[in-house]
Amino acid sequence: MQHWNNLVQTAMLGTGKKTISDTDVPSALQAANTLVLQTSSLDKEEQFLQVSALALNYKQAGVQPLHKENILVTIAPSETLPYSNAASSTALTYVLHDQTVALLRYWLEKCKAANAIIPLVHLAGVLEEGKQHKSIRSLVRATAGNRAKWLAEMNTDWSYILKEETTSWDDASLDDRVALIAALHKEKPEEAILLLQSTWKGEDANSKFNLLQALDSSLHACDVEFITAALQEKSKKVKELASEYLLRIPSSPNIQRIVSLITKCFTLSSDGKKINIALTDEVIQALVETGQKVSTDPKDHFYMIEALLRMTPPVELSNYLQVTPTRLLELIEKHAHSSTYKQAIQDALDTFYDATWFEAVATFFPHKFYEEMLTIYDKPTFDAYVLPFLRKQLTNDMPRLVRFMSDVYPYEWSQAMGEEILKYTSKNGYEYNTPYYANAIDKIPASLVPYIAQLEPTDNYGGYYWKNVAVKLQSLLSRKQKINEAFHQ
Amino acid sequence: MNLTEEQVLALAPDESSKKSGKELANAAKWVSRGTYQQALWGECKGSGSKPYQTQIDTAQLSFKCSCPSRKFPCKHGLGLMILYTRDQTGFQQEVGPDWVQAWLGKRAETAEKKAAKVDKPVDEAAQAKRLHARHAKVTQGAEELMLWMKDILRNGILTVPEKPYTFWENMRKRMVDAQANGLANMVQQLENTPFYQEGWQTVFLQQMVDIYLLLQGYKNIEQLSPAFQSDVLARIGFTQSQDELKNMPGVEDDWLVLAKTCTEDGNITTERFWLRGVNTGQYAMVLNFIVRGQVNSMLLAPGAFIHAELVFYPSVLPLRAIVKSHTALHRELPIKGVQTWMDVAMAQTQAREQYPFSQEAAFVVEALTPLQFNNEWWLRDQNSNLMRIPSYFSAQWHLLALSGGLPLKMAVVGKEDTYLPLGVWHQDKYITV
Repeated sequence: MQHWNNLVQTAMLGTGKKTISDTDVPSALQAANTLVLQTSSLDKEEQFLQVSALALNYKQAGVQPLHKENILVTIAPSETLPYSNAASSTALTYVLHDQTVALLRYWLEKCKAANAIIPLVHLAGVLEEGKQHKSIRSLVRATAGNRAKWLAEMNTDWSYILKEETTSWDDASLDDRVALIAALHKEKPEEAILLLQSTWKGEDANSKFNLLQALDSSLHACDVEFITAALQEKSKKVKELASEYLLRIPSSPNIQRIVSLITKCFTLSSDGKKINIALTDEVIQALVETGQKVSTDPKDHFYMIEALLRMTPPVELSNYLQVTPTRLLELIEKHAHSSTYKQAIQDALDTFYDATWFEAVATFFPHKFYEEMLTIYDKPTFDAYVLPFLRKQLTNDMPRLVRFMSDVYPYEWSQAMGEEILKYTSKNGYEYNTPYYANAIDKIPASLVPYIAQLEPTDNYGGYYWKNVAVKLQSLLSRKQKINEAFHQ
Repeated sequence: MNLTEEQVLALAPDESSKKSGKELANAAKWVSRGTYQQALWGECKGSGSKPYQTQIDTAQLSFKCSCPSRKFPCKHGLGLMILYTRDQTGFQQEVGPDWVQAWLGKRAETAEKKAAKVDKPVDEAAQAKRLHARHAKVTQGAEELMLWMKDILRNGILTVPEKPYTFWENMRKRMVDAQANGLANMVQQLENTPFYQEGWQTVFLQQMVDIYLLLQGYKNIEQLSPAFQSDVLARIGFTQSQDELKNMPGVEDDWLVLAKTCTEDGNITTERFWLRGVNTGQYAMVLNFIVRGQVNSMLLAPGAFIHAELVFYPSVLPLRAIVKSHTALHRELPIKGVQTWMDVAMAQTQAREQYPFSQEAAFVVEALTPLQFNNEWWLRDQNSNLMRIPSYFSAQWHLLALSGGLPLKMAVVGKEDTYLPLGVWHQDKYITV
């Protein structure tokens, strides 16, 4: 309204400098306006305030909405999947309140399995969580429905809903590239190595070390050439890691060299009932040439054989001798240094486990836990296999076992497993804190709640720490229980 | 009790209470717990030798706990309610222990005493003398304020943003001395003008005009209607006795608590509850002031229906009210709204006819579509008319997710061309946004 704007202009400069404008006054205000300005008993400031009061009331009383005919608003397409049920919606309310990503992931997995989509009241909240946490994006994509795609067309923060994200190798951060290589190397090792080679020369030492570390859990025969080349790097850290890797890949020249030596030390008697183990002159000569000191006393030679055996893939030896692993170990058991050699083979199996050895492992090394059994046994058999190891609560074994059960074991723990794991983790609060339990929540059975209340670590500080963690864990499990119940309705 | 966990959490006095309350919503923490009629109780293991005794009157949403916390409700009260909303199976259905019975008995007794309470005789002569003295002080203060405003206008408001803190503070304090706290707050609002934003001049001038109208209204109060006199006096800072109000007849209805908004100023938190009467169609705004460390006596859960008797402050446009009595309702009730923005604009124009001061009002509008236009968020009615959503509203995408491009029945509060969404009806259930 121009009249009001004129009044604002007057107010800006002051009534002492600018007269009150009587132009552009709406006709409805004209008479009252004139009356005010002609009232000589009022000073200029009060005249201004009265005129402004009239104008303001007129302006505000006449506010009309903005009329716009042609603003295009698209309608969201209808959904093809049903929304998850009311109980699951309630459960999701609490999950979003708690802001525990692991529980949200659990909810989303259940929703996806139920072939349902996120209720609309929570859609914006979940899409925001997906924006923050890349790890749940694929699940959000699977459960968000058509409404989310419609929203993502307008909100770029949620564009991850529209398509699978691909990280460009050249533009990605180091962390992203490490994650990408680790994932790709597990599935397609050749492609991962090609990708690494494409930019390897331009990487700094730290990046090279981190990228090389990404191969750690999935070393493969096709890595040998690349890792061997890494031995020529300037960085000491990179070179040491490359050397360590080459001693873990059966087909690497280093290991093949050891295999060629050790196989010369093992011979079977002609009837196949006895095994002879000794350093041959040829092997001694080869060891000396590599700079090894070899005792002249044959009694000391078994130490050298033990060292070689520890670095030899056991499957190479059984193949060379053309005996089954079980037969090989039976023969070694009859040898004078059987315990030393058996221990060496057991240690070698930590690095060079081979599926063909599983029967021999179960028979001859029942006290040693092998993660690889998970791929060989069915679930009940594996559960029966792992439980005694958990029950032993051995300080040396438990960290590895707990890590395996939390990160690798793909199922929810049984009640007995959970009790044993919590018995250990509750005593080690520093390492197994609330985030640990939150991340492992899909593995921890909700039925453990009463057991958690019984756990009382002995030392005072640990007890106090555990009490706090236990309350949070119980709360998480009660949420999980609600999610389970909701999706079973 | 049919509150959701969200609604229970909305009762928490602060974030830490919410967090602690959620942690205590754990069956293992409670030695015993039960419910009978409107009572909910439990004994919670704490750091003391005996468990804390927590009791809740779910009809009145009153809490009592034997813990030493000064917060209200305390974490135990919240924890017990959350636990109840999550899982009612562990709560015994029986008449509670003695301590629960005693508390409920005492509450009933106090309510009876209150009802039977006879007011002490008032020394009317002394009261009139005190009032006269106060009016004299306020009149003097009002004259000084008028002079101060005229000085500003004579010199122009161009340099106002550069005025020192003391320029405003001295006048604000002067109004406090003149026992005109309402005027002191209006001076404070002048100082709080967003001088860094484009268009601050209009905001500043509007506030000057509002103060001028109030000063003139006070000067000529004898010529105003009794209701308008009450409005002017209330805005100046004359408080209305809540006891007097409670003795007045109220409006009894089923009410939907549309929303709760909070503002903090120093040690004082102001809670503003917006309510809508189901049968009367009347809107109400209940203010609740909580001084840090004091007990919060007003607990209304946003989104819940209550049956209540509200007493409105005398006004030409009754809006502010106090809750005389209330009980929780356990069902959704139908609410009818206006059809278009023109209905809203018409209602606002009629309000301005009677009440010249700027004031926000709440509305339920049957069909509004949220949309983006010119980089701003708007609400469009069925006639393609638009009102703006304020820029500080953060749930616009949530609103859009619920809408999907289709209109929603919505509760809003605002004035002029800007309205804040308070809640929407989704699948026939009101939810706050």
